[in-house]
Amino acid sequence: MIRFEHVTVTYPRRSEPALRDVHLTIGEGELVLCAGRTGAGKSTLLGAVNGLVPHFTGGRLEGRVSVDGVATSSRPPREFAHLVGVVRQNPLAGFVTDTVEEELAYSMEQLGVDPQVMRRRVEETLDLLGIAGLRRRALRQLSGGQQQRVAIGSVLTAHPRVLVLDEPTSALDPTAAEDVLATIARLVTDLGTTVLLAEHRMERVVPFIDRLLFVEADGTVTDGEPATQLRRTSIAPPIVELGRLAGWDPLPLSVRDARRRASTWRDGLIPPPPAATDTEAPATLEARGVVVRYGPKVAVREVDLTLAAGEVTALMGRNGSGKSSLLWALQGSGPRHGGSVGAGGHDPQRLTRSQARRLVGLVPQDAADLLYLESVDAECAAGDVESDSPPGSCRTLLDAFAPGIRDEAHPRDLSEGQKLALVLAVQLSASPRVVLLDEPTRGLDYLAKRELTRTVRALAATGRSVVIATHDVEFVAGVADRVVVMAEGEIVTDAPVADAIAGSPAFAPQVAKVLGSPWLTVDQVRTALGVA
Amino acid sequence: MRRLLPLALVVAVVLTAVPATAPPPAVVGLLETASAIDHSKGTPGFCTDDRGVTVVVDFQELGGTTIVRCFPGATDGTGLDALKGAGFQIAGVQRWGEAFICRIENRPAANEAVAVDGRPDYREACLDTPPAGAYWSYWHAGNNCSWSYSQWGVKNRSFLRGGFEGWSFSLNASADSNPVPRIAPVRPGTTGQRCTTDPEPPPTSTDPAEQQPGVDPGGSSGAAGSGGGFGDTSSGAAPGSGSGSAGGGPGGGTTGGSGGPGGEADGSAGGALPAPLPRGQTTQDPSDNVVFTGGDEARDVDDVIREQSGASRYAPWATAGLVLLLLVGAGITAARRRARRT
Amino acid sequence: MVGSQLAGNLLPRDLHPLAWWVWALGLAVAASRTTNPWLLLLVTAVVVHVVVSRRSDAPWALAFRMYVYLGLTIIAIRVFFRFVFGGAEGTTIILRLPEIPLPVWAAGIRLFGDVSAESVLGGLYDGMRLATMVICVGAANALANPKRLLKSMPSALYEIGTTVTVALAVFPQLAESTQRVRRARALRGTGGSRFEVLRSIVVPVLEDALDRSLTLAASMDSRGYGRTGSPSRASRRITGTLMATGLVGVCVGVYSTLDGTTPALLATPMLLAGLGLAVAGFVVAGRRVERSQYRPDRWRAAELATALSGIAVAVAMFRTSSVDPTNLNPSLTTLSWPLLAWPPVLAILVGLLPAIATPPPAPPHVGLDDMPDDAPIPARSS
Repeated sequence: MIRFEHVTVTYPRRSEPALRDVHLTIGEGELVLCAGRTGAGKSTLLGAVNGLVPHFTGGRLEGRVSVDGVATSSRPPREFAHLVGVVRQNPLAGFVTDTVEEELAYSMEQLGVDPQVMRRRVEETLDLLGIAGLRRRALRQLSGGQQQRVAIGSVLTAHPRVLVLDEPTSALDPTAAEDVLATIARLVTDLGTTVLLAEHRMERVVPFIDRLLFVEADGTVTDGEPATQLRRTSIAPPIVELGRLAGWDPLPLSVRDARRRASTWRDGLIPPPPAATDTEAPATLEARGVVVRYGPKVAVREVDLTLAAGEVTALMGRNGSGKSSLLWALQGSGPRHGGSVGAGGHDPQRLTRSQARRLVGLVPQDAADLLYLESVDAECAAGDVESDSPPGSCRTLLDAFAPGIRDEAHPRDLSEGQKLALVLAVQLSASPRVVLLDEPTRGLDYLAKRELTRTVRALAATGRSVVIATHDVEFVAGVADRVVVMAEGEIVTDAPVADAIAGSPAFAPQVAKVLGSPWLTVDQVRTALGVA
Repeated sequence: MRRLLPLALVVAVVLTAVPATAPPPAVVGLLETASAIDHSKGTPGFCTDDRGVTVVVDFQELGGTTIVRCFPGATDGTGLDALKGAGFQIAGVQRWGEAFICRIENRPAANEAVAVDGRPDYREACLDTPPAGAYWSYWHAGNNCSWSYSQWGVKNRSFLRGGFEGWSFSLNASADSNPVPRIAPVRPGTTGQRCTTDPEPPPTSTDPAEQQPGVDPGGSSGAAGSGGGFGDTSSGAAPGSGSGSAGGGPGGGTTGGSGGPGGEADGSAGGALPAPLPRGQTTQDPSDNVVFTGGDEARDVDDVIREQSGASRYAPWATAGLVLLLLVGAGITAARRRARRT
Repeated sequence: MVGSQLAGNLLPRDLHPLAWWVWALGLAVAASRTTNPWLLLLVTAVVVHVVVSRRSDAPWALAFRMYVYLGLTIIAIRVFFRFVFGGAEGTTIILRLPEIPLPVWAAGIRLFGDVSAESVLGGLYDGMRLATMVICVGAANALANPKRLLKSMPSALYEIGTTVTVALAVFPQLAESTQRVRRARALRGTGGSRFEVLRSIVVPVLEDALDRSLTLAASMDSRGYGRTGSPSRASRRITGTLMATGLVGVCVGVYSTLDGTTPALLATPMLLAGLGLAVAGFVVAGRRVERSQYRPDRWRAAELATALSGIAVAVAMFRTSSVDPTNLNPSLTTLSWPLLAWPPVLAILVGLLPAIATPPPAPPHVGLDDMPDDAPIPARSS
């Protein structure tokens, strides 16, 4: 179905090729996962399938890519619209029309499909994806999961043979992500569509896939069965790491498999001592009765929160539960319609912004919104000036978080993890005692998340309080001491991490699902086994 | 039910309107010689003394009796003040306001066909400056002086106390042949006297706001021959330029009857050639005046206009009622839809 | 028989957008012919009534009141300018303000001074006329989805229509993006010169917009946009010439029709000739296009009735202007209530036809989920 023959892709003004001598074949009806570090070349590989690389992005492609016998060099991407459907990360940015129904029909209109056939296909796709009740809704009003389903539907109506999905669930909360992935799996089994998928949170997809493509850092691609591939790749979901640690063969790919293997092995492990909670630590921030409302809608409803020094708190909850609003209200730059916040003896809302950021620092969801200069060096210098800190302090912090970033690099050219590190360095140059991070793990792979975990723990060790709002349970299991769960603007759970997430079916990390409480991360198991 | 409301409205209006609709007026030529004076201003006929100014309105080929009225006791003012002060009802053009007089006594009326060359069915809507082939020409004269075509606009010059202001409808006339008002500018009882008014100097620039320099209506020099620059009346903007001196019209007409300086003897120098007539003396004989009226028996111009245009007294009330009904209906519909939505 | 056909004709649905636009433009043209406040008020009332009874509940339809506010603002500005700059045109002085003397080079302008009722009324009538035309255009926007209007354009203009649609979507995105970036800017403190602050907001917004537009372009390209074959050079030249001359003819014809003083030869014949050329150009250009349309709007009896009612109002106002000019442009020198005859009033009431002869708008969000559980599932038509 899809054939790559000795393909090398080099982007303009780059010395190293993004993909190097890729030679593989994807058969019809296969579900293939493409994995690799951020920036390794997964997007390039996926873009080459329908010809966006190099027709749209520029660059040079040596070799031959063909879909169903048709070479991408012979035609522009729009001539592949009936063969290949592409779904990207941000569905709203790719929508052309206003309503769901029109969006579904758009592709067919461009292809000149007969109106009767169009109507039939739209109805079928609405049923297939379960969005029939949304047909006349405006696209902007849908939730993230619904938007992503509509985006998939909008390419499905053209009945393509191949579906290419570039990180479809990265912007979604866990439930919506499960939904979308289940839909994709069903498409493969029911319709026989060939699906090529790139996804960071591999743990969700690994149980369903037929093959795993791994893009190495130098641009080569290795291809093979999931179990064999995962044995040697540098990034792997927690179950696989556990399997590697325990020496299971073949590697378990799903929680079910792992539980079966672990039933006897588990008894040989000495449970870790419960984490010592430091009750003497001073409170760095006290919030009482915080209320945030947007017109008639109450986003945060009388929330009390106290943060202790040296503590890392994870703030969890589905999209729209009020996490972001709470963080912005605590920093003082967001609206707060009631209650009080005290940090370092002051209310951040009453101070000037420059003074507030010395007490509470916030890294927002779209970290790149803070960057506006042309080079990393300039940003760091501006950050030092804004924080009244000695020059070079921001650069030092940046080197500690993410070493190896060139001075003259443009901030927009950095990877997601590097951008996050830069913004974190800029905000931390003001030395606030409270640090708030809003969804920092979006777009980060496992290794980058591990780096972030290390950074956050180092910050906490200096006596700061850190709050991280996130969906990522694995990350929370590794970094947090305390978990606060919000729903509908109120705090539902406020407990140490082991108690909060271990038993919950939605929030439990994979290790907990396999080994049971109190095991949360592979590192804990590693320590218990005495392996370095 | 909601849908029937506008339908019912339309039906009701049609039923009440049918008997009330005035028949549309016949269009061509058929016109009452309507004159409608404001009787609270001015007096009919010539002014009797040298205070006040006489205003003469000659319809010429439009048809209708010439009207002569006096603006008594006037001390100072523009030509427009004189016209209004004598009680005439006027309309300016929409574009320039009263700087250009478009209708006097509702002539030419909005539905009256004026036979302009090339446009036999021309109707004057008074939106923009009237064409050069059909407009009210503006004349003035001191007592016993001859009519002179005004170089200044109606708002830019002051009238002559004891003198005459003339308005004569010029139809298809060229620059030299604008019709003189057919009333001699001679106050009753002053026939044969000398013309003692200096001719007024023409405008020196094209500035529409320029005012005529002050003229002493009493006359400074007894000899009327001292006037200069009088015959040179060739400048002047065409109506299409719309300047403030638009009353000047296309080209200046020469005065009627200024010829014959050697004509009449004055009898003072015995035996020698008679002394020439002083320049500017009128040669019109008051006994040759056309029939004129003082405008006493006139109807209100608003009534005339209402009749001509077929307007109805009840239409504004009906319209106000309709507007109210429609807006109330809209309000009710909006409230119902909002209730249904939530 | 006929009754059931009529009932079928009046099922709730959205009309073809072109019908509403023709109706609204007909009323706007009619309003442009008169300064009689009674007639203008009646036109406004008719328009408001039809809009309130026939607009849908979509958010773009609720922006009609913005146009009404705009109209009121226009009237207020015109009247205010007459207070400040208008001369005392008439004899009824209502307000004596001190005149502010101006230097010689501004001698033609008059500031304040006596204010007469005639000049204020002149400003009011003028402002009402412009406000009524603005409200008519606003009504067209509220009744007809502008994007569906772009879709129903001839296929030769499809690319322009798509460009406009995408451009219209940019503004809310830019607004939202700017809000987000401004909020983030506060996190970096409030220092810096004004240039720095501006730059720190503008640069991320523009970069964001650029990213989004690239994503949109890639998405549209992948879905087959622009797939039609390219026409030959000769046919492109013919199409271009036809459309260009056609549009010039239409412009000249429209101007001559609306301006009363141009010769009749330039008015209607030019309009028709220009329209004919433009239509020929569209047909030639649209012949090569292989696009289809999903659920195109149909042109049925209700659309015809709506469009004809608008055209009838405009034509009737043109005809009555030759008979009753005083009504259409009330004289300002004799200060009195403006006169009104019945023919223009009846003509405007014809514009009320769409409120009765058209189906109500389609309700939003109708789907299987919205139906009660015991309702039978309708058979799907294919």
